[in-house]
Amino acid sequence: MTAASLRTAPSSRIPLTYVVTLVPVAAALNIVGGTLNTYLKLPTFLDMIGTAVAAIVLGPWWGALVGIVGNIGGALFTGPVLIPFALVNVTGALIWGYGVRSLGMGATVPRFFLLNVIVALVNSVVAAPIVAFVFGGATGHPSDALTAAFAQAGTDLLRATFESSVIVFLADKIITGFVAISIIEALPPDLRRGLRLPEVAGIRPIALALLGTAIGVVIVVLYVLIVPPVPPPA
Amino acid sequence: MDRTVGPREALGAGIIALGVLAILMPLVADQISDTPATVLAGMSVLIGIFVIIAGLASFFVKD
Repeated sequence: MTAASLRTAPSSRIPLTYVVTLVPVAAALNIVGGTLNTYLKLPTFLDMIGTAVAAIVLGPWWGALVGIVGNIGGALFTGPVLIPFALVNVTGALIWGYGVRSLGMGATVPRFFLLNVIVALVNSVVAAPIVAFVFGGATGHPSDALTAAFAQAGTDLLRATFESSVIVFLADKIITGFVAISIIEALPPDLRRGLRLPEVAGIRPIALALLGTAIGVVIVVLYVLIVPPVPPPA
Repeated sequence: MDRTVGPREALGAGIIALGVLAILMPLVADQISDTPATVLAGMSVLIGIFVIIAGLASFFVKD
């Protein structure tokens, strides 16, 4: 194997113990990440790390289960506003799961990066109508300022919501995807047997997580610098 | 040997979770927005799309 190594295809059947253990832990990881993000008021979400881990390790539909359980559980802490966004989590789980396990999109770093960009774009398509029509464009998230800036520039609400979602999701999903990979690399070998994950010679998994986080932070900093601060609509 | 589960069970679990979400939405819609009918209409469409995807996946899933 050279720079990026491929492993064999993932096995389809998993011991039930792994599922019973990993699904609640991944859902809890989503809740902890999302709650921390809310309290720190970061312009990201960080509520899909567990979803990505479960979707890649166990399979896409287990990831979907984690996404729904995580959002319903998170709603107990931060209010029911999270519940409609469970479907955004499901979308991410399906793309990460099928992308890595069926399409081999996790085989190299560039392909995995592309997969995270696809997750961000498709999630924006699902989230934008929810934010625009269900919440009137404002959910209380820091990205509302970005939506307001686009709307003030003359863009209609749905498009403004989509454009702000793309920017925020790009940063968030790149961070999420690479942090998930580093978590998966730290799991017992039995759990990651057969998975095709980015494995660059000389680079440890934690460095991959830092790389993804750095790219996400750069995107966030760029959008903070470029977009003038606008208070979210009341 | 531990009992194992495969993609078929995963799909079943995903469909059950979507069902739970569909049941939960009418209970919380009025707490989410001033216009719960809009919330329910939008979420019904979205959940329906995911149920269709799950149905299509059931044709292709193999253990």
